[in-house]
Amino acid sequence: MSGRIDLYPTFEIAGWKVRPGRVRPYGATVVPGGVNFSVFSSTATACSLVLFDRQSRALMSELRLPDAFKIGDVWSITIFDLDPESFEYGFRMDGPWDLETGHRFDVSKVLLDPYVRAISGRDVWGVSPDRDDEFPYRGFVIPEDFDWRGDRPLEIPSEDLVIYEMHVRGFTRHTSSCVPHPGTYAGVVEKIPYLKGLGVNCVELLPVFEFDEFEMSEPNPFTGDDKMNYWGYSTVGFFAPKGGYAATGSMGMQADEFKSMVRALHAAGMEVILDVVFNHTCEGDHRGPTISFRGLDNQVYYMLTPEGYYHNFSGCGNSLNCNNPVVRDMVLECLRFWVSEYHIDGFRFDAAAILGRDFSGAVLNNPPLLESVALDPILKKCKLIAEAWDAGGLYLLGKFPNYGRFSEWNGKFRDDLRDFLRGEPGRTGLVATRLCGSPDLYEPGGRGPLASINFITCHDGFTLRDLVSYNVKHNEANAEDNRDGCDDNRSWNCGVEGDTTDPEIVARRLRQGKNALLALMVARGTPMLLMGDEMGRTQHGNNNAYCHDNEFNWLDWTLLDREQELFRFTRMAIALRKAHPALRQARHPRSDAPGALGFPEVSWHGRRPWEPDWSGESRFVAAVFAAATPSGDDVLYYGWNAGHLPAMVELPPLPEGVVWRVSVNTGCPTPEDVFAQGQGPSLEPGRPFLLGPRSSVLLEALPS
Amino acid sequence: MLLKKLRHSTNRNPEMNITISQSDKTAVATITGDITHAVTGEFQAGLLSAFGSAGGLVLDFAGIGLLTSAGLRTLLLLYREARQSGKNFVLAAVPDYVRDVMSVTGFWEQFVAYDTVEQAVAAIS
Repeated sequence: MSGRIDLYPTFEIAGWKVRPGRVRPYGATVVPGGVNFSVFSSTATACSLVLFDRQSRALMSELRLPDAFKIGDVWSITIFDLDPESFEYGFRMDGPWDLETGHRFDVSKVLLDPYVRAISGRDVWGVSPDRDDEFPYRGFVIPEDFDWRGDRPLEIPSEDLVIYEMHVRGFTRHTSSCVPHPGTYAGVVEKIPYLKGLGVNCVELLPVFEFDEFEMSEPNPFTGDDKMNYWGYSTVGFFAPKGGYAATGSMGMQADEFKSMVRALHAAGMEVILDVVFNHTCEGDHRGPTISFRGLDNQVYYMLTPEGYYHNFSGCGNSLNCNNPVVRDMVLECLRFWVSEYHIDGFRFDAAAILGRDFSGAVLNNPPLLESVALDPILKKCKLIAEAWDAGGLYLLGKFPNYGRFSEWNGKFRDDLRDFLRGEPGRTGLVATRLCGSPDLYEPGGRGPLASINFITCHDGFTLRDLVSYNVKHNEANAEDNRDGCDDNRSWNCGVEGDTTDPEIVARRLRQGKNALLALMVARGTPMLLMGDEMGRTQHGNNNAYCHDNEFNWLDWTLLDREQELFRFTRMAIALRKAHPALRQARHPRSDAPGALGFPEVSWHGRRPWEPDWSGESRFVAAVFAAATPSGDDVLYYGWNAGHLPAMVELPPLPEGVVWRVSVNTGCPTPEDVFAQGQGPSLEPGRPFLLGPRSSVLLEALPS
Repeated sequence: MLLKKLRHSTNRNPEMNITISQSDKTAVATITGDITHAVTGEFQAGLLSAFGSAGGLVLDFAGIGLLTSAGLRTLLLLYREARQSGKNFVLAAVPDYVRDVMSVTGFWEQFVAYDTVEQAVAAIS
């Protein structure tokens, strides 16, 4: 006997014992005795639950829900004695097709549940889909009882974070990764010791919500294989982890494997941030497939033109109507779900400017979605990072509606640092501003440097090695006549375009890479590294490698042997950032506030102390960062000569008994290019220092 | 329970069988077939009876088929129950692919396992 009186059926439909279900939570939930289903549609005239046999994929039953099973706009049903491992499901909705009112119901389709927790159909990455399958994506239920053994999100302060942006598959798919399950969540776990050794303490994963790598697959005449949606910025299910990234995807255990990965990363002191795409879905524009939202409630889920077509602020065909209360609720629920169920530490919102638009695309002053996310109790401690622009031309860098919570991918940091690196004139002042955490962008709103996610490279664009090896993009392999991808790369090939064995150019590229990495580690804000930049990963000049499931994108671990010098440099530069609180302050440094050893928090210098050269032709910037901290005074000199000639530099004098010790000098050959904290040679006081061409230094003030 | 099992839920699984042999204080349960949600009841009942008066139980997995998400969970619950009541409960002869699935989903590290039944019996007797 069960103790609950609602555990008994009241109806029979299609041979199943059922009763009107619970409307919340949405989606499919295992309940005592059966499974509960709940789905919303404001306009559908009829709703059926369609069940398929999980093993054979054959249609099992179709249950039309009577009106008695509807409360408001929500249908729900509890089915008894339904083995949760035996079925897949979807919904069939009937309703009007009327462009004027924005409805596109299609009763011939079986629709994916927007709240579905696991999706079958793309269980194993790259297995060619059955193109005749009318309903290729189907939902199934999974247990949500993972044993976290005391784990929870880490809540590492943003100033201490070093982010590593990576693609789950690309990280270990290459055979050189030597992991038992290449290209999977389990593969990431195998490489945790590597990440720990490198010193990063956060991984930011390119999209892991279920997507279809075959979404736009077509033969690529250039490479001979199929073009794929490799990056995954095209969500099929917001609540479902990508099955094809799991070694156990074919067994439907991707959720357990994903959670196991998060738990292992946390145990190693590493946070997990997800790159999430709430600006559009995989359904494309009016020519796209009807998979879920379009057939459930088109005019609720999408921003529509008055003619009933799709606004395209995402550049991907449609725009999710995220400030509609129903959609807002879904997005919020989704974020809460990933934080509470998967222990995710933060989110990077792709093309987040769209999240501030209303149903017609107009920009909102006080976007309810962003406010709700920022103030939500469950999301209160997680990192929120906005890509503060969209493909509709809305550019909100420095102005993103942040409610004191959102930080931003700082595109200006990337652009200004790249310009200075390649020797463009007139960038000295801008670089100084970026090194301080971009107070021009973030001081007016009182946001501080932690609003700035500093990066020079990310998945979108050149890798660091390519940034110093190519003047222009080389996207021929994308089979779009090199028209796709950004033309504003601000790169310099160091003397010849692409591969070379010229030792001078090879050395220059290596040094330029080190200059970029050091600037990233010195700058105030939160630094983000791109996967593989620490070992010279190349995409051969391709700056838009979204469609390649091959060595363009897979990290070649043999680079570690060939690029030991760069790897060592990166690892030690990260360690220096960790060792120096002066680099990790949560406020913009001020030149009129006392720091330490008689220096203000920041002071600017030139070839002579206290004489910075901000002129247009200056390619030299130098700063002293000084902080009095509980563990003592921390004073650092950072100088970057981006010019092609060496510079004789007089260093700012230090008090008696304190000397400058070299931590980094990218102008020196390894191993003298970088030293562990306090281990570098000291410089004779008063003696000028020769800084090589296109070189940078970091000096520590230490007792002599 | 008023309702009987509906046909939909049971017909997809190959039969699961549990054979029990006991020597001294240790019982060996030899499992064949799939352990899925559909058979977790039988699985649980079978193993609980295997314990009987035995102080320890060895699960011989050499003939196991599919071990699904629900199967793994039942296994873990039984394991914890046994440990709580002070009884030994170990796995033996786990096929590589099962072990693999258990590893990447975080289940493996929670169990004690031996390569062979003989080793397992020797270890806990």
